[in-house]
Amino acid sequence: MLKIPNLVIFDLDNTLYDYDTANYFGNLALAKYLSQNLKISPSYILKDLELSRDRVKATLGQTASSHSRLLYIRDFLNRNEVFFHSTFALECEQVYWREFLDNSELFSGVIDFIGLLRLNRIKTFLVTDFTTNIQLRKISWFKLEKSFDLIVTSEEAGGDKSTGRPESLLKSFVQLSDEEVWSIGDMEYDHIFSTQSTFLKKVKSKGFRNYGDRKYEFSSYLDLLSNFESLQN
Amino acid sequence: MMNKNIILWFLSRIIIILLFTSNIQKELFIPFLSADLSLIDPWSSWLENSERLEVFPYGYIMFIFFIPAILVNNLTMDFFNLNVSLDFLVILTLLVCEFYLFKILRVFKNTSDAVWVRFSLFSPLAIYITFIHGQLDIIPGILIALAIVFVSKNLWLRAGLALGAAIAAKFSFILVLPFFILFFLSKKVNRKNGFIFSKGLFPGLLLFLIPLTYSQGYREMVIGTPEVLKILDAKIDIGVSSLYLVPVLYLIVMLSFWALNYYSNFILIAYSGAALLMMGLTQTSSVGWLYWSIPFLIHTLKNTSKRTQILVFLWQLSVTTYFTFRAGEIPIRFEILSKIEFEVNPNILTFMYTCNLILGIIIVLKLLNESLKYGDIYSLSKKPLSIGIAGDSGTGKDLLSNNIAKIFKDEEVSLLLGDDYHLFERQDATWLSTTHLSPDANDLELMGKNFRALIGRQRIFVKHYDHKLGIFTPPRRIDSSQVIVVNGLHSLSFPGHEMLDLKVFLSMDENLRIALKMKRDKTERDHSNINLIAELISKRKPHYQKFIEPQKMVADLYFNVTGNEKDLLSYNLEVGSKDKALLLDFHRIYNSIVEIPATLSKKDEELILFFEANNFSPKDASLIMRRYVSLSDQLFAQEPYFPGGIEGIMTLTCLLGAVRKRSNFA
Repeated sequence: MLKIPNLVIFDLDNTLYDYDTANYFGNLALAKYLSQNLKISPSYILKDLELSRDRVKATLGQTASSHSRLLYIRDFLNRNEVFFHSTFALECEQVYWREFLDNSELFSGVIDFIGLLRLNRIKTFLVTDFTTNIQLRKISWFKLEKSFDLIVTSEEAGGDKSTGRPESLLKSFVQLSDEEVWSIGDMEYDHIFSTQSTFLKKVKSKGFRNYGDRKYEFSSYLDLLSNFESLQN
Repeated sequence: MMNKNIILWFLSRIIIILLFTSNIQKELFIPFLSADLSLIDPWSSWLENSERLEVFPYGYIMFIFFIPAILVNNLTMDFFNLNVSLDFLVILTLLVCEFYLFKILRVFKNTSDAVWVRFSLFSPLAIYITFIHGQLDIIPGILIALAIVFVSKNLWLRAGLALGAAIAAKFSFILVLPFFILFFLSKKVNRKNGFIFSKGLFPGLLLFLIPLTYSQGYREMVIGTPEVLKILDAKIDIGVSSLYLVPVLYLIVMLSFWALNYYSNFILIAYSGAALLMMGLTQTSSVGWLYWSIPFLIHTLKNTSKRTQILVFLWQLSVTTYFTFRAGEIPIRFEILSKIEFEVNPNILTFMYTCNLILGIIIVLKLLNESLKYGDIYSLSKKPLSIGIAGDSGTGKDLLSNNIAKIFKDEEVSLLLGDDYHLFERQDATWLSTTHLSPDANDLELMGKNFRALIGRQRIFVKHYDHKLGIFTPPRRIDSSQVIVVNGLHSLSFPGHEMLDLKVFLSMDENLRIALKMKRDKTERDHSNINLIAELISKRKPHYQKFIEPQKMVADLYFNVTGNEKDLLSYNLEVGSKDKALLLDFHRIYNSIVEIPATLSKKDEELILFFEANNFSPKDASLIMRRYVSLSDQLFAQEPYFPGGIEGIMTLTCLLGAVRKRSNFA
């Protein structure tokens, strides 16, 4: 049974907006840009960028930098023998993020849901994997800069959520006693303070359902809004 | 997971198809399509064995849509000895067509407004025409839906191709062409699009005309169809003559379109649909005509009020009832129920027709009214968008106004130059005692009068001041355009400047300005005496402080360019505005895109946004524009191209400032 929370911890990518679509268009634009400049086919570039991503992830492990587009691009350029590319790599990164942001829209109901929480004086935190710079830029883009009391990124925590480090960093900021906490994310590791909190998993398929002990699935923030309102009543 | 709207549509159509059958298909189209037809000239091959002209009065494109059904019917018979009923295959074709019609118009999209989706999926008229009465008008309907979508996206070649194909399928769609012609003639920038559109139209028109050359059957069945005469059905008898309603109402819609001061793509679509709707609702013999406006209605209703959507639904219900009563029967597919037959008193039918006509006209007026609101969110039909740019000489006024002119396309901008209102030529002795900065040395009264004339959409004639020679040249004509830019020393102080939508003031660090002005005047305006320029600049200072600088107080937006006079390629920019929300929003979105952030500070209690010389790219500017400017197609006929760097930031801020002032969403 859901209870009104004192604190809600959100994830960002694929939780508040459709990361997959934005990333898809970002990659396409990047491949097109690289293709125009290097005269290589975009399909080869897309595949090879995947390889670069795997290589960077293998090297850096579960860290924020392992998500860095700039590092993927640099690895790609190095392996394809494009040297002296400092400026070009930065340009490519900008091409990716510009297209990414252009194709990012918050899920319907996000603003209203966060607004309702804040109206009810419920604290809202954001805990997210990725480098701080781009996550803060996304928050500005989505006009969410006044929506969270605290933002923790995996870059400042020294490891992704799957390593548990962001949770530890969060614990240094917040003392939990009897608080009711909701964690909202799209992956199981987004279940922050899992022993003390209720997990609301953002899924694509329709509906709101209970799928385990203090675990719920939802597809639309409108469902969360109506659930919250019924809890208030 | 299957889309809910698709499931809803599919189930409802299956139920309707299972319940009802169409007499018109059984009596007309099926015999035609099941005959032994030539794929090149089906009409003549039909007439070899029949004298019935009315069975397929449609063009070749319409026939192409049924070729798969004919082939499946023949091949299953030849190879598998299976008789797949052509009746079934025709319904399947119509079902597929309707699926794509809704897909093209994005009706199935989950995020679409639910009331609009329900209205589109369960439009009583569309269901009756296609699946009960059995007309084939949905086929040109898809083509016209494609044309609508391409027009919305400014894809003119494709729009032309789709409309051409719709005309080739059903010649009646030629009736929307005058609206397109008026649209293309309305603005110079649209004429280029019109040329592209007509290239797209060409193949469709050829497809319509070519069968005329070789097919007697086509000439008799399609061109000579008595359907055309139905246009004269609705008439009011006046003495010994009659007034035909269809052409009168069509012309009223067309003339009201012609009389508009401003056209957007959305308005073009709404008016074209209204004209077709008028055609449909003034006749009583063919319910299929009412289908022509359905794709337009679906597209337009998406952005109208719920009340209008409900009104249109009720009107459709009433029109459907009228045509059902007129037919006197509802054909049931299986003989579980016998055919439902009834007879309705002719007076009741006449009363219903009258009500439907009146309600239909009210709906057309309401739709046009609402589409003018949505299709002109910047109120450009009321008056042109005007931007005044003031500042001292050499602060970048020309550059900024040229950049603004470029994003709107030069031919759509009327540029009023303050220099043209100087009272004296350069060699005049008056300049020994005064400067251009003094209002007394300029005919500001005339400048204001000319500005007001342009705002009132009148053309003006203005003598031009040639900077190179320092003399006036003969008057030139300036036509009023959608955007008016007033660029000059006194652009924010001439009589009538209050009417400007956006008032912009430019300034520059003194040393940088002197260095740049010397560089410009030496190279572009052919002054040779640098010492004279320096002396002139210092002489102008008191007049600048007295007459030019105070204009900053009335400016909505001001820019101050700073930088190092030794590095004339790299500037910084300070932006201030009365509109704090504009600065805050711009600051936020700029910093989310660009690596080197802009900084926000307070100077004399005013917010100042500071940009360092940077690599702000034209694409960054376009991205911000897309994010901020809703329905930008109403401002730009083509994708605007912004400059990069500081120039790009200035141009973009001016655009956003002007848009915020004019947006009726605000």
